[in-house]
Amino acid sequence: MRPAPGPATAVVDSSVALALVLPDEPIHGQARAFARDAAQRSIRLVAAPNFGFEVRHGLVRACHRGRLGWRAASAALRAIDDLAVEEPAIAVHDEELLALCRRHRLSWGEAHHVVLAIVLGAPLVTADGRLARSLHGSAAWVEDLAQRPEG
Amino acid sequence: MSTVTDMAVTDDALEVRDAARRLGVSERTIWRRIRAGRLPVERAGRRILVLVPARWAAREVPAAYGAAVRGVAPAEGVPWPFDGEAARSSADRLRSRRLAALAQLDRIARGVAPDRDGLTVTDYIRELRDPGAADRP
Repeated sequence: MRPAPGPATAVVDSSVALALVLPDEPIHGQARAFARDAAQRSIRLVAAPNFGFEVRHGLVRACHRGRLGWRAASAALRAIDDLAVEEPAIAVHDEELLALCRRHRLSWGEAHHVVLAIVLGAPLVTADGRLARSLHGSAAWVEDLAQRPEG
Repeated sequence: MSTVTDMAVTDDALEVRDAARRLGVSERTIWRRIRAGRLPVERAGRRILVLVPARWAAREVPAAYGAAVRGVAPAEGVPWPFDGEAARSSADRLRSRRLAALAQLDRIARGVAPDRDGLTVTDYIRELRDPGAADRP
């Protein structure tokens, strides 16, 4: 018997969460449309373990560069938490990550997002066009937000 | 397989090949560690089994990054009893929570200034995620 299909799942790159906070980002509209879609259609959002760290790093950079106030950054973190992005406990072997880094010239951090998408058979939604291009011809299903209408 | 109880985590007894895969090193390295007394072993007939502390396996899962405890359970909790009504109600709560979060992010976004050098979030993340990009051939 085939297993019943689970809820639709998308792997979210940290760039998407950050683009939601910063409206002058080129893909802010697309990130917003994607997040609204995910909310309305109950899409399960998951992320690699480095998601939280990268989001916090991005917000701190935005504060240091005068784009965002510190209190706003704190509020943004709470709001991003409320988007309910899960970090699933999935075993990932170093060898799989290293193979991705070697084959597609990915960084160690990028490989964590990509391997999660491959393991779950779910799209990796990213604002990083370079990452999307480097995965052409790979087993990963990548959705480059820049290619998506703003909705 | 590891067994995890409330308090205790047992060792795994693995073939050398499996221990190598688990720890992300070569079989040669495993043998070297055994000879150096850094990995305990037990014999099962003629086979040598490596006792890999289960806590070492934790590096394979997000626990190593401090995220597993928060991430294992769905953020909204598991609908219980698990019937259609509870599942719908859980989905409704999640939808409301996310839409409220998006509204809050919209409010925050109104006070945001552009980056003075035109950098984007991808640039911010890349400097953390891939600081040596320029070094790669």
